[in-house]
Parts: sequence; C-alpha cells; structure tokens
Amino acid sequence: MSEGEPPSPLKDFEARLRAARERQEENSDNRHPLLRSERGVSAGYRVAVELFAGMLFGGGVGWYLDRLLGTRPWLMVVLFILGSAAGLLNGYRAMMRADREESERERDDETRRKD
Amino acid sequence: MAAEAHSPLEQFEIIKLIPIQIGPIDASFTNASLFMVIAVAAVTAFLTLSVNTRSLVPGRWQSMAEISYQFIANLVRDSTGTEGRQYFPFIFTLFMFILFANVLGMIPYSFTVTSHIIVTLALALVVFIGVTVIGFVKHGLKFLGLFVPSGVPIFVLPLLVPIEIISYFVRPVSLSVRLFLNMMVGHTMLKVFAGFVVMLGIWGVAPLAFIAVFTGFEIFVAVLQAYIFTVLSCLYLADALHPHH
Repeated sequence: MSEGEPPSPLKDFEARLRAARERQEENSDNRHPLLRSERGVSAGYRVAVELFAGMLFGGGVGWYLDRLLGTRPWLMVVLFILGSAAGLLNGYRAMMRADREESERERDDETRRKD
Repeated sequence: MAAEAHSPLEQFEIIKLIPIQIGPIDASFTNASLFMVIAVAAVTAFLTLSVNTRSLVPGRWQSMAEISYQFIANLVRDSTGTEGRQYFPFIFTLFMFILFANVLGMIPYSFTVTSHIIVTLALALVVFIGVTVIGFVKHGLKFLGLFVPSGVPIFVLPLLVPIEIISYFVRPVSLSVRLFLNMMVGHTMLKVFAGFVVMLGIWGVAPLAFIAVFTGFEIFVAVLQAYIFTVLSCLYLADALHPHH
C-alpha cells in the first residue's frame, strides 16, 4: 500500500474501493493471516471429539427412540454402530483436510524459498 | 472451613439473579445471562469505540478491531468463496461473541458461559439449522445429494446413506461438545490445581507455577476454540453453498 497518496475526493471512493476489493480477490492465495489450520495435536484432538460425538449422538438418539417406541434395545444398538461409523467418517474427513492443508503449506513454503 | 465451598465445580453453578417465571418456563435472569449480556456489551463497546476516531493511520484499539474484522473476512472468503460474503456479519458476530465469552471467563470470579453445553449447543444448532435452510433454499432438493457419495457402487448405498445422514446430524453435537469440553476441562483443571496450592503448604509453589503457565495456555485455548468454532461453521456453510463432493 502506498502511503504518500493524497486524499482524493469522496466521489471516486466507491470505485477505488471496488477496485481494491477486486485486487484483493485476485491476490487471495487461500492463506489465513494467523493460525492457518489446526496443526498436529489439535487436529488429532478434533478427531477424538468427532468419534466421541458420533457415538454419543447415535447412542443418545437410539436410546430416546427405543424409549418412545418400546423397541429396547435394538434401535440403540443399530444407531450406536451407525453413529460410530458416522463419527469415524467425520474424523477421517477432518484428518484428510488437515493433511491436505499441511501439504499445501509445505508446497507454498517450498515455492517461496525458491523465489 | 466447609469442604463443599471449595469444590472445583462450584464455578459452573447457575445462580438466579432475577427470578422470572413465564407460565411453565423458567426464564430467570441468571449469572449466565448476565455474562452473555456483558459479552455482547463488551463486543459492541470494543468495536464501536475503537473505530470511533476513524483515523487513517489506526491506533492500537482501532488496529485490533480492524485485524479481527480482516481475519474473519479472509476466513469467510477463503472457505466459502465470494457467495459466502453475505453471511459474513453472522460469522463475525458468532466469532466475536464466543471469543469474548471465552476470554471474559478467564477473569477471576467471572463466569464462563461457554462451559455450559446448553449454551454451546444452542449456538451450534443456530449454525446447523441456518446452514441447512440455506442449503435447501439455494439448491432445493438437490441439496440432498450431499448425502449420496459419488462413485460408490449402488449396493452399498443403503448402508452409506444413513451413515452420511447421521454424520450430518452429528455436526452440531461435535461442534458444541468440542467448545464445551475445552472450556469446562480447562477451568476445572485450574481450580483443582489451585486447591493443591493450599493443601501442599510451602510446596504449593510447584502447582502455583503450573497454574501460571496453564492460565496462559487457557487464554490461548479460549481464542483457539473461538477460531475453530468459526472455521467449522464456515466449512458447513461452504458445504451448503456448494454441496457436491
């Protein structure tokens, strides 16, 4: 950003703002200024919560539906297993995303070092 | 000295400040409500007062407000694309509220609203329901395609579709449980170790040093969890805007 610019009249402010936004849009390289992604420990921790939440949700909904429909314990068993599978799926996706971001960052770092 | 007065869980107790009863609903103004109001007031004060001067070269407070705005604006743009920009006010409000609620909870004798699962679940459900509605409004019934993974043999679909549907409904649970667990566990740990300081007498210096470090870590966690909640909300929003995977 150039700082020596004289303050220009307000009437072309909108145009300049739009131009600046478009420029920023182009320059955006998928980079968050800080804490770009959860790394290492917190990524692993995320997966743990994901697994736990899957089981909790499956078991909880199963328990409630069982009580409502009087089918104890079958729905709870089935939904617990499905919930665990869903938790695994969510955890897997979170892990793959963290992995992808990590490799992207490494590639970025490498290209910057070459420059 | 009564032992129960020093329970590490005492800090989570809900105290009715102004009892209000509307029919069968207990709508009392509690200490939790008070700290939510304080958080909202603090965010509003921070953002309005700091940019009040509107100087071209921002001062300390103004840059803090501008950095937080820029940070979330970049996050929304990077994760949801340009279509996501119209949801920026909501995402920014969400982030600032959780951030302030978490950080205010680190002040001694204050109350951490986000250490109660009902608060975090309510926040997560607002995101979840909002995102689902956006998905259906933008894509109609095609939004249901989110539950049918592509490139999968047709005979495993009856098993995979329920799993996908449940994994979608697990989202608000994991979103709220993560924030709630982090805040509750951290605050309980602090209180438990603070109890050791008194019990150990002169050797209480060791847990005291640990608390000093851990308090710093807890402030980091408070900020990080606000960020993670926001990032995941953005990812869910991105799923609703572009439901093809």
